[in-house]
Amino acid sequence: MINPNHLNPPRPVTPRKSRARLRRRRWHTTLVCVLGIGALVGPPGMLRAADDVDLSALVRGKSGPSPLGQPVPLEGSSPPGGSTALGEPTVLTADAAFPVRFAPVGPGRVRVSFDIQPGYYLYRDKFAVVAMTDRVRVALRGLPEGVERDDAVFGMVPVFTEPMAFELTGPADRDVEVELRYQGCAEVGICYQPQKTRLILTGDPSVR
Amino acid sequence: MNRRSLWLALPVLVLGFGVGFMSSKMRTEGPTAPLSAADAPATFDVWAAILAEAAPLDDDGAQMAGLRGRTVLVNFWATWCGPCVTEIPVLDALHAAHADDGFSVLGVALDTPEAVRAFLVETPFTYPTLIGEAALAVMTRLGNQTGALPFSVLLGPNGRILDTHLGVLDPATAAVFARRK
Repeated sequence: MINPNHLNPPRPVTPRKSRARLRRRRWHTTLVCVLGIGALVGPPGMLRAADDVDLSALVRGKSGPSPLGQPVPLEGSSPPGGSTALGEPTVLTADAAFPVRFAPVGPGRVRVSFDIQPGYYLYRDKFAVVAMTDRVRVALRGLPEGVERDDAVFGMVPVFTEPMAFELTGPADRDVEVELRYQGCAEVGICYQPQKTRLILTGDPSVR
Repeated sequence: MNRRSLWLALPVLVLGFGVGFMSSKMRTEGPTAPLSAADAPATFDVWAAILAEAAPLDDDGAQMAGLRGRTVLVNFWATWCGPCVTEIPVLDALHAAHADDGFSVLGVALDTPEAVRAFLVETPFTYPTLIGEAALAVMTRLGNQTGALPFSVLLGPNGRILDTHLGVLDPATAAVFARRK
C-alpha cells in the first residue's frame, strides 16, 4: 500500500503572515535583479568603460553599433572656449557668431538678416538655398558683394565681415520648405562646419 | 517557480529590460555637456568611438592597425577649412620626425571621401586619415562644443587623452605634444 504522504509530502507549516512576507521578499529580490540586469546590459554592442577594444577589428568595421555614447576621458584637457597656456583661441559657437533672423516680406519672400559678430566672417560663395520639394525654383536675391579676403589657402575670396541681409524667394502660390546653407570662420584661425537651416517660404497672399 | 509565478514574472522582466534600455538610451543620447577630467573613466574607448564612426580612406586601415600603443595626435580637419589645411605641413613633418619615438598623427576628416581624395592628389600628406561626418559627435563629446576646426586630441600610449587643442597647432606646441607620453 502506498503511503499518500510519500507522493505529496506535507508542506512545512508556516504562519500565513510569514509566507506572505517571504513571497514579497522573493518578488522584491526578483524585481531588483531584473532591473539591475536590464540597466547594466542596455542595447547590445555599447561599449563600457571597462571594455578594451581591438583597434584592428575596428578598422575592419567589426565594432558593431556606434559607441558614441560612451563617456571619454579628458586628462589635462584644454576646453574650447577659453584661452590656454598653449594659445588656444576663445571662440563662439556658429549660432552665436552668425545669429540669423528670418522675416516674411511677401508671398514666397523672406528677408534673411545675419548679425555677423566682429572677428568672424562668412564666405559669400558658400551661400546657397535648396528647395526640399522637387521642381520648385528658389533663389537668393540681393546677396551683397562682400569684401575680398586674401585667404592663405583659397586665395582672394569674397566674404561678409559685418551684418548683412538678403532675400530668399520662391513660388508665391504655395508653401515651400527650403534649406539655407552657409559657412564661415573666425579670424583667430578656426572654421565652422557648413551650416544648414530649414524654413518655410509661405505662399500666403496675406503675408506682407 | 511554478507556472503562475512565471506568468507573474513576465511583466516584471519586460518592465526591467524596458527600464534598462531606456536608461542606456539616455546614457547614449542624453549627455551633451562637455566632459571634464573628473568624468574620465574610459581610455581606449575614445579610439573606438572615432574609428567606428569614421571609415579609413583606401589603404589607411593597415597603417592605423599599428597605432595602438603609440602616442597619437588625432587631428580633426576638413578640406573646406583653411586653417586646417595650413596646419597639415606642420603635422606631416611632426609625423615623420617622431615616427621612431612612438609618435604618430592620425587625421579625421569631417568631409566627403570624394573631397578628401581630390585634396590628397593636390596636397598629399603621409599620415593616415579617416573620413566621417559622424566624427563631429565624437568631437563634441571630447569637449569641442563649438564644432569648429581644426581640433586636435593627444592620446597617450594607453589610449588615454593627454590634451586637446582647438585651433591651429603652431610648430612649437606641436613639438611639445610629440614628446609627451
